[in-house]
Amino acid sequence: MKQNKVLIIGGGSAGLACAIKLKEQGIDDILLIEKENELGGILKQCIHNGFGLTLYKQEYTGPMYAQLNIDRFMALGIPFLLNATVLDITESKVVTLCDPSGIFEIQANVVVLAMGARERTRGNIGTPGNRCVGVWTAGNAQKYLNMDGYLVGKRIFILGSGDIGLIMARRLTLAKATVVGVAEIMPYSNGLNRNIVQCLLDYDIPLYLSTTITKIKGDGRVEGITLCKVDENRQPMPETSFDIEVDTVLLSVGLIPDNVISEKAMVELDPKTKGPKVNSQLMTTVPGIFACGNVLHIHDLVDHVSMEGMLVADSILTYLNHDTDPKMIPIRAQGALSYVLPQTISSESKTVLLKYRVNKPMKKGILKLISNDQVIMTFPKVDLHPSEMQTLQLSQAILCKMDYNLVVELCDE
Amino acid sequence: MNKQLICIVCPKGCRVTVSEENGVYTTTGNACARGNVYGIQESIAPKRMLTSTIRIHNASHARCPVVSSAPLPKGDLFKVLALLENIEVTAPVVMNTVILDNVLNSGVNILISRSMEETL
Repeated sequence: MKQNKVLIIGGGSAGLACAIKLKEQGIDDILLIEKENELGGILKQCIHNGFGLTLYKQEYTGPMYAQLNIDRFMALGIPFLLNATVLDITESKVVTLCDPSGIFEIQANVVVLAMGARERTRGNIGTPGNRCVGVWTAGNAQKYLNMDGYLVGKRIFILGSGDIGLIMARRLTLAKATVVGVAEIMPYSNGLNRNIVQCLLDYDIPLYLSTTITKIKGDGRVEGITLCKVDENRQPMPETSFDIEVDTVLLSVGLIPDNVISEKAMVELDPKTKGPKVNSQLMTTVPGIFACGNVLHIHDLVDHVSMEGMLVADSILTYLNHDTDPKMIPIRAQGALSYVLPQTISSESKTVLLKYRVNKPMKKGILKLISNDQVIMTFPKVDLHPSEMQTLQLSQAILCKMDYNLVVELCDE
Repeated sequence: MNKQLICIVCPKGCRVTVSEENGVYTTTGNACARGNVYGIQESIAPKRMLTSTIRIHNASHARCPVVSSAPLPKGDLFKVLALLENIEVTAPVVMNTVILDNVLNSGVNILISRSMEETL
């Protein structure tokens, strides 16, 4: 059986960043697996600009950000396979792969999960109506338009106000389709403010808040939809329903980390993030298997994806060089937080970057760090939004105060 | 004159107030200098970055992404898109190659935003 020290699954932003940092630090025995016919991942189809501000202090388009990483990766001569997919991973890190040459196995010392995410579909949200042609996920429509040159429709309605939906509203308008409107079931938008401005307001596209699609109608092709206001429990109020004629519905209703392969390796998943449970080194519950990027939790900025890839590279160096078994302290989220990552903190960590999301928009709040029922730190927070991942850097001074039963809590002032 | 804006320069989305007195513009609420520039520009003559695609031959995809080198006047976006409809390139292409120079005398170039290899 072929052997590799580090096998990276996924050639998107997370996998590339991890591979580059590993190679730069002297690890040569790397193999990166990519299922598509080229490297770069999802950014290849995200042709708009706005990527890289945090990491590079400069704004790039998605393809540019990917290209910069691909160029560095190629210059370092890191081995990779294209058109290759992973069929199975065992807990002992035997990876079964399939590429145009056939099926084969690799024994790896370390596996990096960097497979990204999938879009939620009509089936995931259970939109009633006819099963007609013309209902697409926003990312799928984005790929068709930006890479293949196909426009999915002429009169389009978008369900979900996440950033992909907003970006596609503008993109489709520029491609001369009519975007009739965007509906959001929540009473607030799930996209960045800048995207509401430059994607919707710029083109007079209406945003219907607390509204959802209750029916998709069409014989063969989509002919129209029924929209309905929802109450505070997100239940449709039939008396508010109205119809709109459209030929296409785009769904921008969230991403799910793609962990089909992770589960085969018996990696434990977090029901909240839908990604692997990890420690502060981003190692999963299976020793030697690490996770970074959208497969771990959904990101809104690629910069954080790349940084996670780099953190995994650092952690792998430590893992390969030291045979230690540090104490793991669990940490959980409480109050107005939907999750906190990592799920456990290694007693050996020098610094830890906590990542969390709020479960409702908040103007002001207090973030508390609690250890063994004692509040050890508080941090005032302003303008928190569920669509924006927040971070909190824990220094060694704070870490040494943290004992057991760790809780991060966000509460109103 | 006071104008409330949401800054689109970065994902932070600061709420910026632009005030004008005797032709002098000042901004408050912006967290950085770029927000000041944006707020004033947005009050005088709004500009936007433009990204789109052009036809490419002999590459692994049918479209090649492009980007403006700087923001363009908002009213020019559809005119530039019309020009891009007539442009075709053949792989290989290299990122940052200029395909439209000083488009509509704006001083802005349109650049190819990724490299694409020739496929046989």
